[in-house]
Formats: sequence, structure tokens, C-alpha cells
Amino acid sequence: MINPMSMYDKTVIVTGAASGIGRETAVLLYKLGANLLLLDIDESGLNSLEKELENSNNKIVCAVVDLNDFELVKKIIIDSREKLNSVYTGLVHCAGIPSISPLRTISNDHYEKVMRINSQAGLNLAKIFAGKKGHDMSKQGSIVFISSVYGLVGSSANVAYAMSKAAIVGMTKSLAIELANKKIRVNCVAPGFIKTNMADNVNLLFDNNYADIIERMHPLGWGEALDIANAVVFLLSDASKWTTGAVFNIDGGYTAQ
Amino acid sequence: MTEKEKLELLEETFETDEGSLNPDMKLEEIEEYDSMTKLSLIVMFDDEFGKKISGDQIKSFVYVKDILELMEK
Repeated sequence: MINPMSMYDKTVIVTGAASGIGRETAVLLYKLGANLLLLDIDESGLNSLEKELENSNNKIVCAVVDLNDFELVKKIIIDSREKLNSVYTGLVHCAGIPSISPLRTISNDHYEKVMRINSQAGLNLAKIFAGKKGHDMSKQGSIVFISSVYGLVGSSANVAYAMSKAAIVGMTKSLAIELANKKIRVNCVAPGFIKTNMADNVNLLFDNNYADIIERMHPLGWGEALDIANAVVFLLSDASKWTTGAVFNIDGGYTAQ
Repeated sequence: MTEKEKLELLEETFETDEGSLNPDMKLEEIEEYDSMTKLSLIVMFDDEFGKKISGDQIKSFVYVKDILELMEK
């Protein structure tokens, strides 16, 4: 049986793999047969994922790293090729810092911290992946960034986050053009709201039921991390081999209104 | 941090006039104490005092002094 989303000949780097969309993406890639380099700053989350994925035929390397440390990230990515016994065909940058902060409380430190991980780290990872020691030049490569509906439409108390996610849209389109001659496709997914503890906490601040308001903004209701992971895997697979520079709104209809 | 300094920081967070807050004021009677100010309080506690405060804690605040008591490093 043909599976257009098969990952058996793929080796993928996933950042932010310890939780949320990154974790769900890593698990789905694993089930579809990919070899994986999983990166996260959260050691316990990464250890728990490693245990979940052990005893598989896939080759998996987990590394705890702060994405702000560009040289260390580069070394881990290059050194891990040997352990994985293959070269990379895909990169997914899921690591991100959530930021709910009204304009009045935004500081330069906060803004720079959000931009460094959400956008700049993605640029650095793409640079490593597109380099000679990164992807397999003989095959098509695929980079997937995670943007957000907040990178496309406005919302209160989200300016730093929105700027970082809008930057990803610009980066996706520019790199799609620049890297096409290296056979590297670059796309991003812009998720709507995924129900998390953070969303529940914010809900408590409002007199109206914030969760209900958010749900009503999504014609298909709240999303799950797996909804995003499915789109990411499609963009990594050969099924999307003619797709580059695209922004996939996986948002239950949030931006359709 | 003195009480005066804490009140100044709160007035900045509430975007209210200098000298307009005092510890015994009821928060629900302060026009500027809206959802955006509550979000700003969470960020202020994190940035200035390294404290993560929850929505439940915010809900439990009744008077300005309830916030001032938590404004310790």
C-alpha cells in the first residue's frame, strides 16, 4: 500500500520536541518511520519522550540544548549525523516562547528573548541545515517553521509574540526563493489555539468565559497538537514536493472570518 | 522596596495617575483595574520580582494592599 506521508527514508531535526506541537510531531514522525534528532532545553520532558520512543527500529538522538547557543546547536547537529548514520532531509522548528504581555509591560529584554527563540533561532537552524554539513544535497530537503494566527491577524497583549511569528512568515517566503536551487523547500504552519494550561490560566482573569470566547472564534472549536503535527509531516513528506513558500493556516477557521 | 516605590510601580502598571493609589482602595472600584491591567500584573510580578502568579491569585486580590504584600523578591 502506498503511503505518501511515509518517512522511512527521512531524517528530521525537531526543536521543542519535549512538549506540545514539537512532541506530537516527533511521535508522529517516529510512527511513520523517520530517524530523528530531537532538541529541547527541557531535560525531563526530553527524557520522558526518549523513553516513549525507545525499542524502535528508528535511529533517535536526543540532545538538551539552549537554542540561544548557536555554536553548540551547530556542533550537535553535525556530530549527530554520525550517530544517526544518515544526513538530514528535514528540519522543524517548533521551539517557541509564549508571550502574553500588554504594550505597557513590554521591555527590550522580554522582546529580544521572544524574538531570539521564536524567529532568530529558526534562521540559525536553517543556515546549518542548508549548509554542506546539513542536509542531503542529493535529495529534496524540507524546512518547516511554526508561525501562528497571531502572525497573520491582530490581538491584544500579544505584540512581541505577533512580531516574532510574523517574522517567520517573511523568513519562510524569502528562504523558499533563496533555497529553491538547493532543492530545499521552506514552508510554515500558522496554528490557531491549542488548548493548554496557559490558556486555562488566562481564562481566570476575565469576567466572561475566555475559553468560550476563544472557542467561538474557531468555527471548528479548539485544536489539538496532533492537528498541527499532521500538517507539519505533510510538509516534510514527498506528498508536498511542489509546495514551497506556503503558509498553512491550521486554525479551525480562525482566519477565514 | 518601600511602600511608596511599590505604589509608584503599581500606578505605572495600572496606567493611572501618580499618587492616585493607596493600600486601602478596593480594586473593583478602580476604573483602570481591567483584564489588561490584570495581565500586566502577571508580567510585572515576573519581570520585577521573579514571581509567577496565577489567575487564581489575581482573582483573590480584593484591596491594593493585597497586591503590595506580594511585591517582595
